[in-house]
Amino acid sequence: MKKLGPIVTIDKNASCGEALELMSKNHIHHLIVTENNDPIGLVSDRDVFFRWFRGNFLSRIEFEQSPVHYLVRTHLPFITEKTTLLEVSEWMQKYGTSALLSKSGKNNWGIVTETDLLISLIGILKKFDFPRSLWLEGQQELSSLLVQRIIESLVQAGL
Amino acid sequence: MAISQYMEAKVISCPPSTTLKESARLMKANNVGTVIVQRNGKPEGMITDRDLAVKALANGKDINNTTVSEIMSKPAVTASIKDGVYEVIAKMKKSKIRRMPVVNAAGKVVGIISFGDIVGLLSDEFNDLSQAVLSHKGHLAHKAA
Repeated sequence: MKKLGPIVTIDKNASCGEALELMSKNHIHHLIVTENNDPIGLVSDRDVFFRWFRGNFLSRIEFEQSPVHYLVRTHLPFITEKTTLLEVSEWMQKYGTSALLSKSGKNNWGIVTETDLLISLIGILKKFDFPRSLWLEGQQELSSLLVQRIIESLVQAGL
Repeated sequence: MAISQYMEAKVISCPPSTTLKESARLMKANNVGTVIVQRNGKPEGMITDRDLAVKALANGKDINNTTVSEIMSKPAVTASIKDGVYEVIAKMKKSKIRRMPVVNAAGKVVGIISFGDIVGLLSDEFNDLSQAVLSHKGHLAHKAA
């Protein structure tokens, strides 16, 4: 899965104000939180919002000075080279997140978002030249037609 | 595969005169990240948790006296209940949004659809698809043997 957007990190001791500024400046919804330059989890704009507002609003100063580590989600599974698109989708639903950390090798890590996942899924449809017109009708059964297309490709390839 | 099957039918809405503080309370109470701003049942705009954090907090807005109409995304880009998935994706891509109110023929809001809903929908489709392809491949292998 190719990463499309920028990968932006923030140290766990940085403030929520800095996190918000980074998200706003880079037009992104998630930051990778690091400790000694290693990723430990993610923080989203929604997490930031709920830090600011928990039934009552924190004062701006109190909010901006809160460290990011109060918000970081560390319990999310990492995506590896062996993780399937379906697993990524299931994990996002299970953990209620729209992004997950990915790790390939010791120091090669990144972030996979719902946008990346959606674009990958659409890419598969394009690969099999699935007609857009069928989607536009909105009521078509995708699977049976696409299965037919894939099977034709497999047969043509002698598989 | 109509989007009505995958959209969230529970819609949290408020009038344009709602304050930012009240809209945040609505989000918290209903555990949602989006409130549809409506007038007479028709969507005028949308306000998200990100709008509150970025447009309000980062810009120092007075949450007690600023109304949602001042910072909401408008006009509301909507999906029709009859739209197909690709049409919804195209609208989201064009407008650079991740959530849209879904309206019926009369323009009334009947649900909300998000990027996550579409990812879930496509994943389900691809799961069915992979099962069908694997099953067919198994069948072919059995026949060849």
